[in-house]
Amino acid sequence: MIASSYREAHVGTTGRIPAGGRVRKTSTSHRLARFFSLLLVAMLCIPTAAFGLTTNSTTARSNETGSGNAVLGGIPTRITWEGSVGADEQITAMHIDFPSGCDLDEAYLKVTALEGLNRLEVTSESSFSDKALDVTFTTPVPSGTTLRLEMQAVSLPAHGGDVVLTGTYTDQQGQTSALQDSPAISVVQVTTTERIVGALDNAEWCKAWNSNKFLGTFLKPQLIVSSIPSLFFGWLRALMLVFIGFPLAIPIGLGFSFMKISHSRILHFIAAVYVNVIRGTPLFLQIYIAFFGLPLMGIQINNYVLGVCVLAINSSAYLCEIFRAGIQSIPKGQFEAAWSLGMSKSQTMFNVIIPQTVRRVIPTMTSEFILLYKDSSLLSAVGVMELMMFAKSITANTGNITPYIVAAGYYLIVTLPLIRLVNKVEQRVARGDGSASSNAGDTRKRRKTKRAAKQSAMAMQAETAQVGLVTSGSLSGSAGAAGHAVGFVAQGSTKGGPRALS
Amino acid sequence: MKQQKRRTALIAVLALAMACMMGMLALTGCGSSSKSGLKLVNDGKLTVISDCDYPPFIQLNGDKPEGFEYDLCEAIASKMGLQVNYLEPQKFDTIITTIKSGGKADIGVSSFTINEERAKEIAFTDSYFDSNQGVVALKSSGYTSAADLADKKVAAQSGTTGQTWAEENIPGVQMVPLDAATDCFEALQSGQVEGIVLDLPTAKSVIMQSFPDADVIQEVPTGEQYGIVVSKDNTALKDAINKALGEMKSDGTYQKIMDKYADYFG
Repeated sequence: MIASSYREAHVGTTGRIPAGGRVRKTSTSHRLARFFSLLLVAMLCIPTAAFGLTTNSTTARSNETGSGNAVLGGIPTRITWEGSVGADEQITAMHIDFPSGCDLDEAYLKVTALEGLNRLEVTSESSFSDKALDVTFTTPVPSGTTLRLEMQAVSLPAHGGDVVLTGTYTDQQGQTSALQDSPAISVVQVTTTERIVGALDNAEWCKAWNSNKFLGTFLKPQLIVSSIPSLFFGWLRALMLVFIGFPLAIPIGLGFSFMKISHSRILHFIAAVYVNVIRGTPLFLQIYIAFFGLPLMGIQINNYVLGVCVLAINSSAYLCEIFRAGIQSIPKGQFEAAWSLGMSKSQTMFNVIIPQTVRRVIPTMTSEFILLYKDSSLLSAVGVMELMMFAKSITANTGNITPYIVAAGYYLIVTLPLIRLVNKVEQRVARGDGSASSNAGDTRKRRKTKRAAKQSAMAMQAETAQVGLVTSGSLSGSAGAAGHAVGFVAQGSTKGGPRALS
Repeated sequence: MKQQKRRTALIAVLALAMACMMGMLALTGCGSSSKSGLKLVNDGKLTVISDCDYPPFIQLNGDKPEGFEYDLCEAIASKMGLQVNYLEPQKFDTIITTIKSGGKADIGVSSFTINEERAKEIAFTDSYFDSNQGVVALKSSGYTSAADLADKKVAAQSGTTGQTWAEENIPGVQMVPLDAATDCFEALQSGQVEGIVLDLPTAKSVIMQSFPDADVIQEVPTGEQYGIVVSKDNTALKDAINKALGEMKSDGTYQKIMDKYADYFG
């Protein structure tokens, strides 16, 4: 409707129609006129030319804090209206109506005009009323211009729904025509989190708190509130990565540890190379190789799957060493005893040695798990959406460190209890040992690091002689799956070697 | 014995912490005033921080930064009677925070588009470049516009206007924010993402220099303008830079630098 009425106006004002007046005089002008009129018809048929000012797009910036991408109502956002000025047209003013429920109290406008890719200097005056925006261009905006109106600090209706902007524009003749309806912007109802953030924004104590540079940068209450729910999903993903990756690493690590203690030189060599290369290079580098290298070879793997694989491979090398140390810490007498009872090598390994090893390596393995969980954050560099990545994207948007602090909290939720657990288990093991190492176990080692744990794994090996006594000592006490096998072997080992029972 | 050992350790730790705090105070406390009356981190030097990975504006040649912004900073500094000192490259999305907290660098020059969100944190000088966005895809993909990337994975440098544009204008897009522009191209080539949104001059430059199998499938006229990032507390420096920029624009220095990189800006 509007389009057709405009078409008539357009034809009337272009001044090309009078060319038809000369049609009768010469055949060349006849042809020319026909060409022109065809051109005119063709121009009119192009839909973009039907309006003096075409609406190209209308979008709103997501104002959801955190990782979300929704446009929330009731919270200020930026709306961008973009249109093109049609041929032979100049725009002198625009009027945009907002649906009811919008809040334009704080709103202000930024106008950008471009010809192709080049900026045009356009001066304008604008004012926001309760429900509408009025812009007057001091110099008319010429034809062929891309016009962009960025309406800042506009609050869309809090109840959500689709928002369509309507309006009018005025051309250089002073004629006012209706603007095409904008594409709908879907607005989401405000979440509870956003409501709390809004309340905090207005709270006096919060303003005072944030005015302190340190508190405002590291512990901004608004961002703490909004980061907790949005980082939660990142946390779940980080847990998923490591809860799949770590169990995968266990059999691989065990396999390599068998290879490493095997008498076959080739197997030993392969395992040694694997362990040394992986332990000798940074995980970050391994991630880069996997994520940028494999796809170049035409191997396309889902980011998460690849992430799990890299973590599993990396961890397996460390676990291999842990298991090897664990297995070798079991006194030789145990092997000899099992063999003397007619057990095969694999029977010895799985029924006698491994069950005893499990108990010894659990603290070290837990430390390795903690390390792997923390290291999963490195995957953020290659675009795997996990905890660190979620925090990073909020920080990038807000220029505030608080999301990292919240992320630290999410890491600690998992690591602190595990660190405690490791300490407890180690204390128990040490007490059970009843040997010199119990002193070290009893002193409270709160800040136990992986290195310390690793050292204890190494110590296991060194303490072989003591451990021989320990195994028999802990016989009566141990009530695990290991108990049966250990008891069995210990009895046997009285025959096998004099060291086991004393 | 043990107790005593622990106590010495504790004292050592405390002393170390004290030393650190003193150091921090020294850094932030006394921003030296130069002869020109400007508050600068290093007297007589304009200390610049950048991600140094955004050709043709800034990139490293060996360990020396070069590019449009480097030339611009040198020209600005010489107008102000200062020397340019580029710090080690820093990730793009951390530069504004660094300038805001102060003490490390005077200005951040890393193709920052002047926008409201950033202007809340720091101050911008007058603009020194008009830019646009470009949507990039592999030539073999057959994509012809940003609309083809709907519901697909699209990379952008983390914290850039390209990321914001893609989130706002490509329906259902799955953003993959990466650290550097070149990382985006590597991700594109390895098939991790289907497209990239980044500043048009950089898109053209990177494609020209090292990724000929990619192409700009859509030029997005955003008309955004780059500004130099200055701390809000240092208005004098901002004014001095604006004055230098103004002089450069009127005496032709600016145009000379523009002409040097005309191949990428055309």
